Amino acid sequence: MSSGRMSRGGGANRARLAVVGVIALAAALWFIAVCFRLARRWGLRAPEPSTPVVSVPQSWSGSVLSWILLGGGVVLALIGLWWLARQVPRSQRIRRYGISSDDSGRVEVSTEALAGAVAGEVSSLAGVAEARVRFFGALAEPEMLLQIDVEDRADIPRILELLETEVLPDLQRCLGAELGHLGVQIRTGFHVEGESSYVPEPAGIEASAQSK
Amino acid sequence: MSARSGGSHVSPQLLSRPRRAVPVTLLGIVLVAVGVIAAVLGGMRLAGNLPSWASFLAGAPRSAAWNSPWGWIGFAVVAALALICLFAAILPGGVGGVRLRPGAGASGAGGREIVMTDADLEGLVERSLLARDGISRATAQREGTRLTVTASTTVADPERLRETIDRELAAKVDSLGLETPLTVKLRLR
Repeated sequence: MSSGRMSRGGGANRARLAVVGVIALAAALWFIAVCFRLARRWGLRAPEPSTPVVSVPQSWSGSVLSWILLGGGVVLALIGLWWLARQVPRSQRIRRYGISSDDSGRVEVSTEALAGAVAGEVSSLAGVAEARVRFFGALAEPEMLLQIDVEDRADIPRILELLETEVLPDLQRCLGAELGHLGVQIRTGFHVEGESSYVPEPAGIEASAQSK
Repeated sequence: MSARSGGSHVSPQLLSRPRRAVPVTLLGIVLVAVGVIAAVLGGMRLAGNLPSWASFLAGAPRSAAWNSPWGWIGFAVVAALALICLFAAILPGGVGGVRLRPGAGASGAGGREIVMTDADLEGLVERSLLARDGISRATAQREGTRLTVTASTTVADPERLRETIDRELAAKVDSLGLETPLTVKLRLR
């Protein structure tokens, strides 16, 4: 399986959850050990079950506790904000590819125009209702995501074959580079424009038979 | 996918296991809330005027003993949090779709990831069954390499249809060019 950035984000999230889970589990087990006096039996320094859970040392009751609350709170809030920021998906989508660059100027191609051309070519294949295209990466190693909406009767392997033998060679010739990665999502249940999707109701069929 | 999809890429992966964004977002919100409350309390404590809502924290919950109702409530919350986080971290979750083979004539360069979501695959199978004479209801569900199709028939003896539908379903699924073939299990009622 390929390793995109999305999967790396998933790994980091699992690590965060595992860390919080282990800390919470340790706290829950410590609670059980204190309440049932297991910790003392094992020779650990543990409070009595009848003492308060939150016991602030006398020396902390002044400004020390306030500073701990303030500092700890700021650190916790910053960690929380960092986690939240990491959940916002970052698009690596690219708007243009630089075809060439020299003293006389720079030639760029808009990926929107390329996407329109590719989508048009894919949409013209038999059984395809619509296609959407997005480009990523750089011209050195362009990447493309393609969403193809097909009708249920479409010959999907044939569409993929035409994509490989007709559409992609045209695109790669235009870019002057081979695609580094191609992602295709096939969606089913669409109707190709211009094709009839009308199915007469059984009652309608009977009525027309009677009229004959 | 096959070896063709190997290597890293910047474009989003089309089929991937759940990112666990929801539990991490909830945890992030809790961390921010607790952090802000603690920081405000610390700041106001330093300024010498504790807000009125802080008196609740200084009351029963703070003085609660380990072996008290408040203590056990705290234990239940922490234990539930531990279980949810650990399960969310360990359980892999499904990928929610199937991979298709690249089209014939694909060049050797570049990775390919060709996918169809479970909803699209199941919908396709359901609609193809419903379009068939003698079927009044159909549902399909993929789990791993098995596609379970449940169909209701309008004929008195469903067994008479079984062989034909079985063959048609297998042919339909085969025609998609799936990378890992699915075993179709048909339940006729």
